[in-house]
Amino acid sequence: MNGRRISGALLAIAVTLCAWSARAESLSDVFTRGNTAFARGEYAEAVRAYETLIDSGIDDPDVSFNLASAYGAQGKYGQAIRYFQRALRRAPGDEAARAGLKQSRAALGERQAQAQGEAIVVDRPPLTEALFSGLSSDALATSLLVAIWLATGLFLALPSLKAEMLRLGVGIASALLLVVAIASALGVGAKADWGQEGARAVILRDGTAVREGPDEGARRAAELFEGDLVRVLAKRGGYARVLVRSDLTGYVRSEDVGEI
Amino acid sequence: MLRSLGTALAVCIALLVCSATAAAQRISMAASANRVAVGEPFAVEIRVDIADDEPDSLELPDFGQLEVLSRSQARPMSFSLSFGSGGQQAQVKKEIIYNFTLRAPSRGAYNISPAVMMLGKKRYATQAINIVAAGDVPQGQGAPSMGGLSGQDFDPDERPARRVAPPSGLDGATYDPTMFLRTVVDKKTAYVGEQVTVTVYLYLHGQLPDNPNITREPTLEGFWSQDLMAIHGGLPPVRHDANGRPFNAYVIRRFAAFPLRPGKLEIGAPSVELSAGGSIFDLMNGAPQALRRNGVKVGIDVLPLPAQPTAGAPTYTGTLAMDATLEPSEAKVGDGVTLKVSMKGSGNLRALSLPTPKLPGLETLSPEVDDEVTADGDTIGGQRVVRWLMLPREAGTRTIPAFAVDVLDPATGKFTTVRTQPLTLTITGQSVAAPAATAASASAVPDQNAARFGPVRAESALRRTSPELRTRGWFWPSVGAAPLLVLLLSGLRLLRRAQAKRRAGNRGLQALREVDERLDKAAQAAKAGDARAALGLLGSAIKGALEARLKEPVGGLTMSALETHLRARGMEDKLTGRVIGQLGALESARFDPTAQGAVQVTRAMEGVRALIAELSRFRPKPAPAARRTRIDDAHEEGRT
Repeated sequence: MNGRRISGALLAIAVTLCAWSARAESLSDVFTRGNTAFARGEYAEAVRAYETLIDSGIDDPDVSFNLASAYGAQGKYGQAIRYFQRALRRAPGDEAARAGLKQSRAALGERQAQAQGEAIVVDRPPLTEALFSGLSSDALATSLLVAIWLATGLFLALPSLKAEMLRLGVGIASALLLVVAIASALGVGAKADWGQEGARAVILRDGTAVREGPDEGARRAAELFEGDLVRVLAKRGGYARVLVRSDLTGYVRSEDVGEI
Repeated sequence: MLRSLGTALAVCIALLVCSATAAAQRISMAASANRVAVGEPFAVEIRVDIADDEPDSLELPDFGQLEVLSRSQARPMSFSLSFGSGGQQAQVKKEIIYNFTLRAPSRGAYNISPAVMMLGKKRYATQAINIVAAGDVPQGQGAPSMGGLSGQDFDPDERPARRVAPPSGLDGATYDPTMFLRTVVDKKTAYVGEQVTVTVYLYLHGQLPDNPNITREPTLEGFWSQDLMAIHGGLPPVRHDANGRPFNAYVIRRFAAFPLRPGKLEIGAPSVELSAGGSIFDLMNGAPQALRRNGVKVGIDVLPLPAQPTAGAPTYTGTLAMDATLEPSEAKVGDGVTLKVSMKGSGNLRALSLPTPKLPGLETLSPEVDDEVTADGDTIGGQRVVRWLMLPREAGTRTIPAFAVDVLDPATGKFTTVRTQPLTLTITGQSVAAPAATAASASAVPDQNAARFGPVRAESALRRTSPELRTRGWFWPSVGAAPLLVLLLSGLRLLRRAQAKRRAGNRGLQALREVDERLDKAAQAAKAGDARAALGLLGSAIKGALEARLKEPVGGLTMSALETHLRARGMEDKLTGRVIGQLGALESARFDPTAQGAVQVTRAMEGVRALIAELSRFRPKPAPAARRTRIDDAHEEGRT
């Protein structure tokens, strides 16, 4: 009886290990398959492979970069903007992703200008974003934590210090660390979009209708273009409630908007 | 904090005073570096201040085994006017400055004896200077220690500041007594691909007033170049004599140039413009004028590479190490395989390209190349990584042959061949059609901008979604705990202070009660006819009242010490006089039977009550720290 139980347990462990290793290998294979497809010029296949990774819970800046490049190569610049921005959110110092984002916006503007005679390309991020663009949210959070505790430690150590110069130096260092902590907190806030509702998103299709209700028959309140930035407030029944401007909210079809 | 700032200010003032005192010394000697390389020129400056008198004698130092390459003497004079309450004052400052350029002939420690000056009967001497010479100067590199003077202190661990001094001579530069340009190359003959370090100096007699405007960059036709100043940053000026005249040599351009073809190549002549003037005299003379100077071009003889040992292999000049990997080494038909070759070394790695491997049944796409340029000192090098994506089309085993590069060592002029190991790729599965057929699939219809995107990344860590640090439950409590801790501890500190104050107040009330008790006891003793005891208790009551006001014991103080202390605590002279007078009178009366009558005792008691009433209105100043400590000690002793 005991022998059977041990055999069963060993079998279960072996099956689990095999499944785990097969899955790990599979993800790597999917990535390589996407790269191979991209190299062949089969961009739709490459997008499918990279999307499979994203659906599997992968949130890697390299995968986002490759997916954005594949969308860009297909001329789907809204999606390209979405994934380049996602890559930059995870790796703010990625110059290639930044260049790709700029390229996507420029190409989109070019196409819209050809179609409509004019186009507005927003290329500059808001000030708060630009200030902390080179740092990730985690880097700023770590900086905040380290700086505030160092400042606290130094401040609390002040009364026990006898030498006047040392007290002065520690006092200044404590104040500087406090400034760093405050700046880091502001950065964390900017990265987390404090004070703003919803999640950042990109419109993926030209002529996307913003309706007053989650229904095709609802009145059109506005029309958006591919690459326009909105904020998704909620999703319901195949529609997403979006904030277009401070004075305009409405509903767009869920497939026409992609969250960053 | 304010006290700390005050202390810092005081220290700064003290330092300024010290430096001013140091500046007033009559003779000084300094070397540009205490650690030099063998054969590397360095400078020693002796400065004699002769503001008042000419020195009677001046004995220059003995340089021992150090070779003296050049020496110069200057006698600058400055004249300044000052206007003060005492009227206009003119000050003339004269100096004698000796400059020596020295060189250590071999490794070892050298001692430069003090310079000695006699002025009247006074003897002034500098300190001796120790110089340590180690290692040879790297071929073709400027001497790093000809820069600013490092002072007389000798620190064997001190590394000399990075300075690039021009070698002696002018290299054909067009000399000008005010300003001229000089281009220095570390070698005039080089192999194709060998690094030539080029430095453009701006020689200026005086200080550089502003950043020079380089109106024409040195042209580099036939060279691949790498800016060294972008890697190392700007370089400080170096004192250098040209035609017996002292100049400050500023490095305005410094780069590594790699010749790309054999023959006579030229580094073009630069031009520079410097805005001059800006003083009050220039305002009077009109707008300040710009100084413009042209440099001269420098020729480099570029030697062709000798016959290479491996026919058809790429050639490279410098040092090189190579490694190749295949990931994965087993793949199915149609799966991507990455071939990666990493190359590290010194030289112009960006000029090194490897042939794309071509194997039957294996489609190899255009490579992705990553470069990292670094500089070890002035030697350019770094890393180049080339990645090929390979697509197997047929099953089987393929051997990717070794990559070979013929590397020329410019010092010896000989080639060595650097190779990677051959790699084996095992391909499984069924063969597929040629890529041309698949490339035309319906899904691959990119628009005209498709070429703008890519190449994609060949490697990824495939990291999963992880919550950001700020969203973790412990993060914000950890951040908030720090200011809370500060508030908590500060609150506790304030609480302790308030308690201490309250305790002090209680002590004062208790002391006042004791005063009243003593006065009552004194009255009882007077009634009982014990005048001596009554007088003693009255004196004790006055001291008790003082202690209640001052919140510190005063019993152990002599009369004069008590008087001084009461004044220090802010008691008016009149009241202090009354206290001291009353205490003295009571003390005398205790030992004077004629003053111990009932009338006298009653009068003394009234006087003491009036004095204590007046003392109750006295508001003392805080006690000095030292005194407070003594009083605290006394309290502690009292408790124990």
